[in-house]
Amino acid sequence: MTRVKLYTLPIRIWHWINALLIFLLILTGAQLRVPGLPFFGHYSKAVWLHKYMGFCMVGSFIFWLVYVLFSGSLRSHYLMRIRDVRGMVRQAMFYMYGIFRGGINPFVPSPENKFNPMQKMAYFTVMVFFTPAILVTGILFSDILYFAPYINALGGLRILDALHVVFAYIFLLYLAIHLYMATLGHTILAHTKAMILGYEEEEGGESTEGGEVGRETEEEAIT
Amino acid sequence: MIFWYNHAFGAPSMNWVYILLYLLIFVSPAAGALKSEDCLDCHENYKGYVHGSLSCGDCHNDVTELPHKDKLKKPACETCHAETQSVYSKSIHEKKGLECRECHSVHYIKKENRYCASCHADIAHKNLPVKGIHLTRLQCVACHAPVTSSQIEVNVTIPGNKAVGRLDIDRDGNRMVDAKEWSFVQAFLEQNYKGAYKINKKFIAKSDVHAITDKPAPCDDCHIDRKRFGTARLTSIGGTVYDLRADPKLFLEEIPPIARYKETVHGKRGVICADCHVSNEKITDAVCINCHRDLFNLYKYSEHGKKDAARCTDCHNPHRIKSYKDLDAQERVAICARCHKKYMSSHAWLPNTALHFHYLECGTCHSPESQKSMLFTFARRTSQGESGLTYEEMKRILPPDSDVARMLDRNGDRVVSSVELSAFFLKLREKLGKQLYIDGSILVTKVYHNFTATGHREKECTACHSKDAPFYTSMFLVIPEEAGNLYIPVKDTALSSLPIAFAMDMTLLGEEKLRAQDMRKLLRTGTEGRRLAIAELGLKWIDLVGLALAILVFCLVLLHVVLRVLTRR
Repeated sequence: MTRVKLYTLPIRIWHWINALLIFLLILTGAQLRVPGLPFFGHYSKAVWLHKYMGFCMVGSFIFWLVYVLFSGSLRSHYLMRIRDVRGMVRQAMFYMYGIFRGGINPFVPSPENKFNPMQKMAYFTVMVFFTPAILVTGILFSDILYFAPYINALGGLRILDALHVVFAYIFLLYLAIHLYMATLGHTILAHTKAMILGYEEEEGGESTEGGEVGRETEEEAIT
Repeated sequence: MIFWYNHAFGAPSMNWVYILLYLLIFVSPAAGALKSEDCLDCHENYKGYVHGSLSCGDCHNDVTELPHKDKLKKPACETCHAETQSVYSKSIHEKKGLECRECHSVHYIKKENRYCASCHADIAHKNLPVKGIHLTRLQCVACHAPVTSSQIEVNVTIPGNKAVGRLDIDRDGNRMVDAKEWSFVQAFLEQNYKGAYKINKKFIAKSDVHAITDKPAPCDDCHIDRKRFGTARLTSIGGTVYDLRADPKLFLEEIPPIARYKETVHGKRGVICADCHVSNEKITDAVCINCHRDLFNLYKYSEHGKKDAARCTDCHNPHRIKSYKDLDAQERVAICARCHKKYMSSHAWLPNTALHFHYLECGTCHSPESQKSMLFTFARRTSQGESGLTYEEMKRILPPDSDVARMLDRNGDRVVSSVELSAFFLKLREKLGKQLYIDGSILVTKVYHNFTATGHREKECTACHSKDAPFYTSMFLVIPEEAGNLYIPVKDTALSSLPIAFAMDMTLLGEEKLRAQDMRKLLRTGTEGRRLAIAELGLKWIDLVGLALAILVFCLVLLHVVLRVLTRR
């Protein structure tokens, strides 16, 4: 069993704070959309929580953006490359077929290449497109009067609401898949533990470079 | 210009050119006239006189030598002031025989101190309503002479001259403050500078005092027709100068005079003056009870009635032309605000306070037993701001004698569907352009006069912000007619299925959220019914697709889990 350090402390703290915020935003958002839901009692509490958790999420996103830009991980971990397209097919085949046949995961994470091609595509899309989009539409909602000219330029309140809700559904679907995929490590909780402790335990005696199995590695692995 | 000079005649030896020049330059008809100093030898009391640069002889031009005749001609002011004289000749002062000198100090024009009040100090203005405001805010000429220009100038003072952002005033950037924007400004001031700010109004009328008429301007000139004070400017707020145009109706209330009584609700129903004004006593509730006993019996046990807080006429103006059902949300709020002045700050707990007060009236929450409805109106967004379509505008664009209700309800089922509403809207937009849109509000349509006590009011957001809100079963399209507003029932899905651009400003409550009945319609009805259900789905497709995808993802995950368990992976 090899232990590979994948996630730095700031990223782990950010991840769990962000997870809590998204969890609260989805619950409060659901109550706003379906007022009968009893999650937070009075409707106005849900409104208040959704608004201020949204502002916290803006802070959280800014932290992430600054961190990945300055650490260089946006380029190394999130940007898709041409070889990732082929890898994505292989990865999808593994999840749909290979996993049931006892096949080996074609991707082994490393500090230089933490995410498999499917993760890259999902995280990049969510963090670079959908998160800013839902945050911007949410900020416009936070003071309808103040932002009225921008809302009108966008097409009006109904368009703004439609966009925010569409992005919310995308987030919800992404979260459902993300949570399930987190159970697809070598044990059900392997990926979750990695996100808490920072180390991913990998099967096999040697550490490998991030990427497809069988490549040589130069990275420092802690065994 | 006549020059005063003292020259000796030129030498006779000068050639003819010099003589001609001399004559042109120095010789005038007044040559040889007297100097003022000569007059002052006898008339010492006129020493230091000032009337422009004129000398005594310019006006008293029949004095050619001294000593002059005992009786001189009266100087003719119109020689110089012909234009003023022409205006004055039509005035009441002229008709009464007042001469210029009765107001003007001819010999000491700079020391004039006679104003209207010099003669009219004791005018009672008996027939002028709200004398305190009229007499302190207006100059005499504002009513008693034709005005050449008039304007309401408004500025707001805030302690410390704190700045207010442009976006908090002119939200649409058209350099015009309309009713909606002004209600937001007031809300902003209430929330940020409660009790410390002051709205100052100046009613500036420019007129010629010589044109004073025998009859004052009728009330309609200002309060209905707006021939006077028909423009307004918001000059500054706090420490910032804006100088924005503003809707004059915001600062000068519409109040019909007695002459237009027949256009009022009471007048139209045949109530004559003597029915209410049975004596010289002030009208009391006892007079209203004669016709409105049932309403009053309900009202007298309400909080207002029990505390004797408000008489009928405190809220209802019996001489008002518009009936209550023709008032929009802001006009209705204005009635309550006459006593409940701090309504904005007392609702600071309410998110988006200004927005709520723009689309709701007080009774929407404070009269739980009243029937509330969602009302749609056609409105326009122009450089003058946003305003509802008036009867005159509708009349101008529709064919003569149009039956609007029939034009709207094409299938005759007495309810306007979104398809019918869209078709009519497009017809109007062909004439009025893209600035036309559909606005909406939630107002009381059947008043229950028991306006409630504190604690007995609607404070649950979900009473409105829910797909089950009661007004979804009571929706009307309000069309302005000559006799008042026409309320045409609207099908409950009208808003959600309207193309976005028609009603882009409509706030969202619960109507655009998918309901069980929508699902039933989609699943159970026949082909035609399903086609209609799909057409009326509007933005509810977001929930529908979202829900379908969520179910799909759940099924896929479940399948994956089952396969993992079966293959023990």
